[in-house]
Amino acid sequence: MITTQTKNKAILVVEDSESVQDAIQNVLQSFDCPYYSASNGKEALEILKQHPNEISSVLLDMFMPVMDGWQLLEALKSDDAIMAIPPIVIMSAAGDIAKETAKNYQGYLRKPIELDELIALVQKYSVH
Amino acid sequence: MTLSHVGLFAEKRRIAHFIPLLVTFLAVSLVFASGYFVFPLSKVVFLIPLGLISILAVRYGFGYGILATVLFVGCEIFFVFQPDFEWPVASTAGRLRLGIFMAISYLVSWVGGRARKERMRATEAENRQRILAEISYVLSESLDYDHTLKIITELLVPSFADLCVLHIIEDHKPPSVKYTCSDPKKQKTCDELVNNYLADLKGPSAISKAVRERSSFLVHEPTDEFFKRFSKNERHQELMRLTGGRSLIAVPMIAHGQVLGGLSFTTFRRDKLYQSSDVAFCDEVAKRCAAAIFSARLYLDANSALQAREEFISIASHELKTPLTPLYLRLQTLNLLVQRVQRDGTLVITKDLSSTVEACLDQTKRLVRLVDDLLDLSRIRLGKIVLERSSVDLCELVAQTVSQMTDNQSSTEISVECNGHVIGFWDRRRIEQVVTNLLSNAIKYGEASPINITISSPTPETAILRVQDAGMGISQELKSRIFERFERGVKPSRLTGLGLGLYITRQIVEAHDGKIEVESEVGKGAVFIVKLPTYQIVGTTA
Repeated sequence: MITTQTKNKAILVVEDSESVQDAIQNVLQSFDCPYYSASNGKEALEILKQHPNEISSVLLDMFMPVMDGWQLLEALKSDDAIMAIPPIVIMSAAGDIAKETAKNYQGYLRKPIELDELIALVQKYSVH
Repeated sequence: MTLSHVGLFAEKRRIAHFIPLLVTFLAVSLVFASGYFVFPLSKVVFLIPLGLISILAVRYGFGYGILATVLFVGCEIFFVFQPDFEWPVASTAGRLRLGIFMAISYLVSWVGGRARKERMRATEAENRQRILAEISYVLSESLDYDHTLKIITELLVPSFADLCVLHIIEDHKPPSVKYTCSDPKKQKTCDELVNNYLADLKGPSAISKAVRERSSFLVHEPTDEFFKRFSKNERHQELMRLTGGRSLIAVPMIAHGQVLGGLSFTTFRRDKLYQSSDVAFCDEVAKRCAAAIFSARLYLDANSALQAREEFISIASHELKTPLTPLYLRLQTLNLLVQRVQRDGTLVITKDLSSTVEACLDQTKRLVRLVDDLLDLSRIRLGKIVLERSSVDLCELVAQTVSQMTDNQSSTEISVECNGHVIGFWDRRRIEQVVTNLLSNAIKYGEASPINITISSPTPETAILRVQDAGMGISQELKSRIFERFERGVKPSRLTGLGLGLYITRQIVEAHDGKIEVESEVGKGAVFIVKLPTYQIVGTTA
């Protein structure tokens, strides 16, 4: 878990592929945007509980081991410990199923990710 | 089943036999009585009993015709004792008449009996055709042969056999057995006989013999010698006698040269002993069952192969797309940088820039590896792995591969044991692929446990490579499959990869005339053992 503490709220990147995680972090760093990273839903849930007011949005990959994106979304709905669920952006290469899920959330990033779209999201959510 | 009424009919017919006999007896008595009271016996009157005798013979057989003749003659003798009756034997004409009558009635009975036999044969043939048609119908109804073959045994009992046992030989499993017994009183005996002595197809039973020797055989009437030879022990012999089998046919089920199982038929009835002509019918039944099993298996195999391929294509596309995501992001970042350089006219090589380029190269390499694996797969499919052999030191090769891999995977501890040099004549690049695949598997499934690699050469002709981890291990069921295409130890969502690693590894090892095996238990890690011949073998491009 890499944490960069700044005044800004952080983006939580939930992604199991290390290389994708690194590439996204690289972009976030270049915009001085703080972030948390989790490699599965379970880790993401812990971070959300530990840092309730620090997260501005979640970038969520859907296909992950241990606890996948859908399981995390379910857990968030039922967990009373998390008071305010931050905006969630669904990331997926799989297409239709994830896109359908994304309709109920704040955004959808299709893999391979377009840099412009990622930057737009960072600018929208990171500075409050 | 629809055919079971045939047996019921047979029961009724046996009682029905006596009714015409009684009618004949009454008719003959009436003729004589009328002859005595109204007119003297005319020659025409003899035609009436002859007609009756012929009908009896045609309907119920030779024996019944003769029986009626005897009754007729008996009646005539009976009437001798009536007052004023002309005893036929007393005169020459009378003796002649009686003699001619007996000869003709014998002839009539014989011809009638033959006609009846012919008719019965035709009915039997028709019956069997119907059974065969029903068998074909049942088999064509469903691909679930486990279910349909049980129905087949029910179709054949009791019209053809009293005990019908069907064995299906399965891959990596004991044979499955279906059977039907006609007599509810013998059900328990049949259960014990089939389940304890016939099921495994290994004992000395008739069905095992038929399957083993791939030929049908008939036991017309079993002798003591038969019981002794075809039984496992005393109890087996006792059960065979208890079921009361009078006659037996055992046939193998063969389709496309492959023995798929066996069928055995036993009859409990002395009057229905099997003849050699019955074997042809049994062969036909077996042939139809075998064809049904064969096509059902073909269909299921094709279906699962198709499913595996579909799954593989989806995994492969996902795997190919995974490196594309970071690669595309990084290249877009670089593009931004290039645009900035063009605008500002200065280029500063930052740490960030070089790490971005490095990451791009890494992902490109990963893509190349994936594409290589896919190409290897099609090469193997076409039988085109060509080895470029040279002198290779396995110890040195392993040490080199390990040092390359530990650069990337620093968290796992890897130890290499090798005394001196183990040199063989192999394709260096391919053997490197084997070591890399086994090692990355051990890292992937080893759950960060230390990995131990041992290289030894028990004889100058063989080299042995052992890669051992203490990770999650492999279940017994999986062990037989992990070297197959598209198989992996864990569900796709947990681990990445095409599931081709061990398949390609095995193909490379086998192309080198070597062998690969695995020893493992769930939770106790796994040891992959590769045995390679060290010397060059002429013409070993596999």
